[in-house]
Amino acid sequence: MDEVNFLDTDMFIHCLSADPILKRSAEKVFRDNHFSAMSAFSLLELKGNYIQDMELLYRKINDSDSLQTAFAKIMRIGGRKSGLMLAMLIKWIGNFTPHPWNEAKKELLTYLDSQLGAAWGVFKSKVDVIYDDFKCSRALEEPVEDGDVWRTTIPHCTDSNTQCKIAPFMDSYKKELIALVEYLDSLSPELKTDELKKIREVAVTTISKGFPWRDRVCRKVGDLLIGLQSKSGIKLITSNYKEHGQLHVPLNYSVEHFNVVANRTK
Amino acid sequence: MTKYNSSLNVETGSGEFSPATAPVDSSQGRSNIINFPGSATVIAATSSGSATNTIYEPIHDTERWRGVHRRHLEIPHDNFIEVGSAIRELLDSCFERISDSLDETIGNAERSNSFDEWKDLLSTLTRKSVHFNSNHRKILGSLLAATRHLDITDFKNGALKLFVKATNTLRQPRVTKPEARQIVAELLDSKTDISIPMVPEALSEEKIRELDGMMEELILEETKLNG
Repeated sequence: MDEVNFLDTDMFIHCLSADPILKRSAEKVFRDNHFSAMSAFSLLELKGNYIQDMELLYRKINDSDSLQTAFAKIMRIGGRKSGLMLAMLIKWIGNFTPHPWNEAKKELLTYLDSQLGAAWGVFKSKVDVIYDDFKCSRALEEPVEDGDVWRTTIPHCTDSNTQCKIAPFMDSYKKELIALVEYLDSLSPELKTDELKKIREVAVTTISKGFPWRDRVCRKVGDLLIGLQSKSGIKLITSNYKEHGQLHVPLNYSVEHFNVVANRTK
Repeated sequence: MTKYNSSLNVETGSGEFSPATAPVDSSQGRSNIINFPGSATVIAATSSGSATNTIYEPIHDTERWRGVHRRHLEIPHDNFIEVGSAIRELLDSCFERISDSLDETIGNAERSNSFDEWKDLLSTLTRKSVHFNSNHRKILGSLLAATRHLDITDFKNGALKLFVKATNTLRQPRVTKPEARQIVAELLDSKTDISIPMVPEALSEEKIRELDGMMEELILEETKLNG
């Protein structure tokens, strides 16, 4: 894997940006960095951060009898982010009219069906290889469609539904984790983000008792997992420099910073 | 030794059997014949009244024979998907337009027009199609996402051929999940971008205000129209 460039989850998100400059810049990074890889764990993050939001839009639009009701439900459950996603979709369609609603609903669902159906494949098609060294069970669970219902749940990891190798994977990096804890302890408080604090906590537990993989621990320390995986390649390309800018020092992997501000429309 | 009998004593050319019209006493010398379980109605009975044997005779009555077959054709109406003539026409026009856009015997301007008309017709289908299932919608949405804001010159012949194939699939009354998957996979393999930008993370404040204003207007418009 020495010849591989890893692309972080956020790079896939930038490829879906409505900002044409940011989108083009992110896509160029993918084109210019073959042989490229993504962590299988990124699929899970994309499912949680993007596909599930689309599913919420789908469900609420399908269940509502007007745009106003759909929008209110989406805002109430998904918050501002989901409301903006609906607005972005409508803006992208152009010449959209909410009347009559049964037609407008069909139009919106057509686009959401296409996006939900394709998202998993779109992400996988962007890189040359999916790197799955700890065999994440959740990363195998594609969005499922059952008639007019999409299911994009991410269950908590339990003994009965998980066969991954995350515990031995983390065990094999104990030396790095010890260095990481020391490094994070030496950081000034303003550099310690909430995720870095969580990573430190999990690293301490892993060193003493093994990795606490049950429930949703992996999702809280995604940057740590992707950082450790990136040690197998040339570098990790990411716009998330707050965490990777610190993690790469004790964990010893190379990071290329994709600067969002510099790459977006002024 | 017990003999087994399928209880079909007489077979007709059509494979249809009918119980004998008159009871036949077949008890003599055949009392040890046992019918297969589940065999057809037993009419013929022995003089003692026990139903041990059945004798069938062919159906000679044509009307009755038809009646037997007609019963098998009673398929529930819901099993058929009706495609309205207007939608059928729309789908055929779609296919015609995208096929024309590949036709090298016609001029570039006309091909470009056909391509744009094809996109317009696809947009109409998103609102008007009544029989489309989610598999139709996946293909339709992907085609529109792939071609939005783009012209025919942005695509190579290979991609156009794929659009023709996808449009043809849309004409089917029923599209299966594997068929839709196959089309989407082929679009992705041909490096066609079918994703819609719906990620709000990097939006500027100005853009967010613009989107908020648009939603407000749309909801107001809807409220007015609904009274």
